[in-house]
Amino acid sequence: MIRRKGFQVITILWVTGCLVVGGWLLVWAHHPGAGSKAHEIEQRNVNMPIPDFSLTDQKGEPFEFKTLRGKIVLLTFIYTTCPDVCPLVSVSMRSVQKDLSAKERESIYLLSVTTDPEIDEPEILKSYGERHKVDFTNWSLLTGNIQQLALLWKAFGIKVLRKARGLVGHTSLTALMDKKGVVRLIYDGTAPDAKVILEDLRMLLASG
Amino acid sequence: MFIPRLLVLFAVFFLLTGCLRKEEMQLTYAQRCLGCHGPSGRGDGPIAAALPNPVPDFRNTVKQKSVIQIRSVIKRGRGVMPAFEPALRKYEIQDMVRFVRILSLEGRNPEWWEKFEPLIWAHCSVPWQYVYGYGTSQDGENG
Repeated sequence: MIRRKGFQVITILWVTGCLVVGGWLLVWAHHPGAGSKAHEIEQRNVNMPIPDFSLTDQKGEPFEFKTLRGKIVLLTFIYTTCPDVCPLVSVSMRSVQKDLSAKERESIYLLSVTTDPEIDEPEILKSYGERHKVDFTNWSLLTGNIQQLALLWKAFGIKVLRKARGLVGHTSLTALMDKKGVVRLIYDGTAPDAKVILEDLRMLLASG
Repeated sequence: MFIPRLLVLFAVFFLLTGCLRKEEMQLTYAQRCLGCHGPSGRGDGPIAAALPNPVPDFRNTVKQKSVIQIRSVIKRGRGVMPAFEPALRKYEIQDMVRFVRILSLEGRNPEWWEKFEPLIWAHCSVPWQYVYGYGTSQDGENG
């Protein structure tokens, strides 16, 4: 009798185990990598708070970073006469912006901050944005005086070296910031992959 | 006697200024243009392949354009190409106009300009669009 009961318990446990594993496999098959992507983002999370900053946008109007609280922010550093890396970064950013849905655009904002305030005045940033077909509704190009910008460069660890008029060497960095203004992910290198950024943006948006 | 001496003086002046300017011109091209346009202006610079659109070959574009049109593109930019005004000074922009013109002449060694700098200056300063009757627009359509 006891032996029979034991057999029944083992059978029930075995069936339950099969159901749990089967269910998990079914979910995983529908969302492959969903868990791993979140895990990957968590592993790459730099969790770096950025102090509020005030700059000037491409219209010549004051821009306050704190007004973007509640939005995911994709921020990069460029200068308009950059002959190598910056055009590629801006092309990537534009590609990200183009692929965002109308609803996503309400919650995601893009920022390009200059590393050459000597040349990059608001109207120059505006024409740069126009040439890159930037939609200014959720993308601002920012400049300011050297003191304001130096604080921001320092906060992101950007090194800026003026080589000649309109020729600047600078760290290439694009950062993804959460709704509280905390840097979560960093993309360094020449041209961040727009598809990777989009995936990360959407994951961050979904995580709240 | 005075005129030949003056001519010799002018020739020496042009050669000297030409030698100095040539290095500056090449440096400016290398720093600002070579990345996309490549060493010979064929559109094969190291980052050209990563750009969304092919970079034009100077032999197909610059060669067909007037000085005014080329200067306008260098000053105001086009597409992802930066606008080099006001970063580059007027003379640097003019240097780039000359340099891309030389590169656009297929098979011609850019070194030759050194000997004929005044001739190139004259060539670049002539409003060719009126001589040949092509594009009179200030902006031009292609880089």
